[in-house]
Amino acid sequence: MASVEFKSITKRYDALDVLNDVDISISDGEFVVFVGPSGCGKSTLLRMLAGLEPITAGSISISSEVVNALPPRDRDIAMVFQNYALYPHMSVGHNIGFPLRMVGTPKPEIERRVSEAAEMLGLTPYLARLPRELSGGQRQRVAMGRAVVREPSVFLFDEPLSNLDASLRVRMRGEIKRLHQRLGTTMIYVTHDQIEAMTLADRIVVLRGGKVEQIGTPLELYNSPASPFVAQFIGSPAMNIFEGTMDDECFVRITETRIALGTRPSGISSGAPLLVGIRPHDVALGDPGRGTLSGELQLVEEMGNARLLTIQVGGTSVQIETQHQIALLPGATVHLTMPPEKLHIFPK
Amino acid sequence: MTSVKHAFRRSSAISVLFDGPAFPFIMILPALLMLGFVIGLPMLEAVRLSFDSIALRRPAAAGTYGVHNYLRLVADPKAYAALGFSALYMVGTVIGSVGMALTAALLTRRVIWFSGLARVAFLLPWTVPAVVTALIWGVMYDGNFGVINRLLDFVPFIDGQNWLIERQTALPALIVAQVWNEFPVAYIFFLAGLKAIPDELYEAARIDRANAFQQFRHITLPHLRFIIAVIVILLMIMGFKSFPIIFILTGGGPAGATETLTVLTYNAAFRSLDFSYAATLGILAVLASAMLVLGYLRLLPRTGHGDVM
Ligand SMILES: Nc1ncnc2c1ncn2[C@@H]1O[C@H](COP(=O)(O)OP(=O)(O)OP(=O)(O)O)[C@@H](O)[C@H]1O
Ligand SMILES: [Mg+2]
Repeated sequence: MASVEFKSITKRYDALDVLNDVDISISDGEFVVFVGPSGCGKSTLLRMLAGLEPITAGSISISSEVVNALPPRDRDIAMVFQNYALYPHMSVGHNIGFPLRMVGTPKPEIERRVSEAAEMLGLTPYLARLPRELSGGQRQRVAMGRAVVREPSVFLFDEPLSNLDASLRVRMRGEIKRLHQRLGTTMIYVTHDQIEAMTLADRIVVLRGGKVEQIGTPLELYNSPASPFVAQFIGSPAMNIFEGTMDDECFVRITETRIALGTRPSGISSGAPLLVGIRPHDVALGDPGRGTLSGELQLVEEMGNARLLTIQVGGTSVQIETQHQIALLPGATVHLTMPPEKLHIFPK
Repeated sequence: MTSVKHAFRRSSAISVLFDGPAFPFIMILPALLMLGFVIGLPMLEAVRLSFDSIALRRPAAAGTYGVHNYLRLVADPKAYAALGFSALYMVGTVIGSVGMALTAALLTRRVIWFSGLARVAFLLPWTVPAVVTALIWGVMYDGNFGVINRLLDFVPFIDGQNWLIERQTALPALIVAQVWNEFPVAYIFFLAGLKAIPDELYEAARIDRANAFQQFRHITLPHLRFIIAVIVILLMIMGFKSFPIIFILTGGGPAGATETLTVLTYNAAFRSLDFSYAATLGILAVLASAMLVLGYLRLLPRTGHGDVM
């Protein structure tokens, strides 16, 4: 087990800046998820930690030891690849035992540890098969087995579930979480799926364009996103964002409506433009009146336990989620109330 | 539809030919006949010749058919020696070429700068005709002026040799020249084979603590197995058949030390002018190389677990 520290990490391919001054510090036994849109540098960061990618500037430490110059074999990390990267010519048993054979572990011990790992992952009946004779989910387990068998001090996962269908993804997600609870080893997990990030992580690192946007527990990110980007990235359906201007005292003006804020946000002067966010389930349908926004109902989507309404307010398309039955038809005018304490204010 | 079909219906004999199961075979028949003619006829002619007695020094014997050439072959110590030299030459060139090609392919697969140049450099010897190869190496091997002996002057404890004239060095010297000429064939196959191995497997292996040799042993080699098997067969046949380099550099000498089956066959035909006996030696060469290749195929493991292909 080990802590991991990224210090001012920069990565450049020729002229392309992929990562810029990234600082992340991960403590022993933590489950940290790197999340962000495609191309933001998640895999690059992970591969630099693994030793597969040279570091342009900055330093990476594992257990307080700088590993910049260490080859992957000396970093005591195991990695699960997106496409599993199983050895196609080796049986499942040989795949799982490979990392042990490479360092000359005695044969009886390899056999014992491989069968333990296979037992844990439900692979025992498949040990003699070749990877191509397995289903996607089984291959995924073999890749996990190959990592688990080593008892490394850090596990790295690069979108390990993205090739699986939805239900299998949910199941494997649970298994990875259980694995972490059982082993207690530091795990770093890359995904662009915010639900995976929310459910798995002790802490989430949101990356955007090669920079860290925010680091925090899932609830911190959900309740107090540091930027509109994080606000819209975390949570589903995504948070609504309105453009507005700061009014005098404690009001914000959106289109023609003055909306009350609970407290005056600090550092924003009167007349300044800002962004106001609110989650779809925090918006309520109400009666016309002061402080309500009116808009035109465009779409009603039934989700069984709730309804998702799409409403056009001025130039903004707003989604709201409501538990109530809706008798309105598209085209109807509706009025939205937004509780002040549910509003997220971002300077623009 | 039916009426249209009816109107154009062929007479029944033709329709059996064109609509029946024989149709595909009828279509390839001309090509088969052509191939049979081109491939089969010279072979049959060689077999016929080997039972005849066409020798320009005994013209009267022509037309006497029998197994006399084969009886002579069985009792000919030179034929056994030639078989041995051919086999040695074949084994030497196969091992040399595969080793050389694999090394070159591993060296050039990851080069980024001047990669085209590096590859062309390794392919270049292939474009040199065998006759020219022989001339180049003949000059290099020369005992007095050859560049090899000149270079060896700088190396302590290794003396220059009359490479092509000494019994022990003549055959290895020929093999080196042959390898230089033919290894590029294997090289391009290996390069293509290496390119087909996903980088991700090497990354996984590096994470799994495999060192460079272990990566070669457990990733590269298993993926190249099939290609190596095919290349070895190709090189075996090329090695067994090769003639110009041997003939030009040593002509089978010194004192028969490099007289392979091909050289012996040439000598029988164009020195002794005994075409029938030469044909018999040729048949021996075909049978021997076929048996060597088949024997090699038997050695290969069957496809199954542990195979890439
Ligand atoms: N070998 C390379 N050469 C040049 N640019 C590269 C290379 N590898 C990655 N990049 C660039 O670096 C950026 C980050 O890539 P990376 O693979 O880390 O993204 P990611 O966040 O993992 O995205 P995804 O979710 O799609 O996997 C991308 O813009 C990509 O084009
Ligand atoms: Mg990626």
